[in-house]
Amino acid sequence: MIATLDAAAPVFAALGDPTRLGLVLALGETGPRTAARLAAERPVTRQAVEKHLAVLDAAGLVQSERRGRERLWRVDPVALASAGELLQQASARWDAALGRLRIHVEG
Amino acid sequence: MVDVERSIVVRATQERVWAAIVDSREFGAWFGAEFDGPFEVGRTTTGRIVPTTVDAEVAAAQEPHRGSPITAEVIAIEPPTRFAFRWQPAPGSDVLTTVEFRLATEGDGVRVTITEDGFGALSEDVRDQTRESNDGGWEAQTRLLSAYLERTPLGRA
Repeated sequence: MIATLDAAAPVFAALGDPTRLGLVLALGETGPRTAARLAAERPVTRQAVEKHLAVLDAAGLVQSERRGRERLWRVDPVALASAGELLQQASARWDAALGRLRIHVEG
Repeated sequence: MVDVERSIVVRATQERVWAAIVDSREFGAWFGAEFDGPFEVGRTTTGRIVPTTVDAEVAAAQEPHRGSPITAEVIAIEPPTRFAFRWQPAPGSDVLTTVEFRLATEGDGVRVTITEDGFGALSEDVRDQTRESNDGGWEAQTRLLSAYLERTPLGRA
């Protein structure tokens, strides 16, 4: 269980930054966009957006594809859905921990 | 939004359960950790994963993680009902989640309810920061992410 959460740390880390979270949510709502378009909609430079997108890409949360001279970014819904699985794992981890607490105090 | 909520009824006095949760040595014994000092409000207690002493099977699973750092920034100790701390849900995570234990008598036992909040960076702090740079579109976006996070049935727990 802990090992699985270890593997999920990059996802938590990537979503932990307000700008990156905003980028993921914006891409989820609007569909594929370029870094320049994303930058135009928020108070950060295109270079900053590209840096954040690279972090999200490394965490598997977004993907990009070349279209002509542009690079379009979109959310990877599988990775984002896996965040839901993480909550499931956290629940299971606490079920197990509470079971141990019971043994500890009742024993 | 509370991300995780689990609860259990144990047959012990509330004082016993309270001690098992707020005494860092006792907490470590069942959780599977060793802390360097007591839990005190406003203080971050450092420690490391050490296999639990109460369940051999779990202890074996924890063994590869022996020594992994674990820290708890204690937010609240309200005897004998509420204990809350912030921690990294996984080593290396930039996001801190808030873990809260609540105790209440139930029948001849004690109901222990644990919540963990802040996965997906939906803590109040981050929400506020994001709202400032987000032109008011945050509420709809929060719902979108929540929908993703709640897609799996147990994720709603």
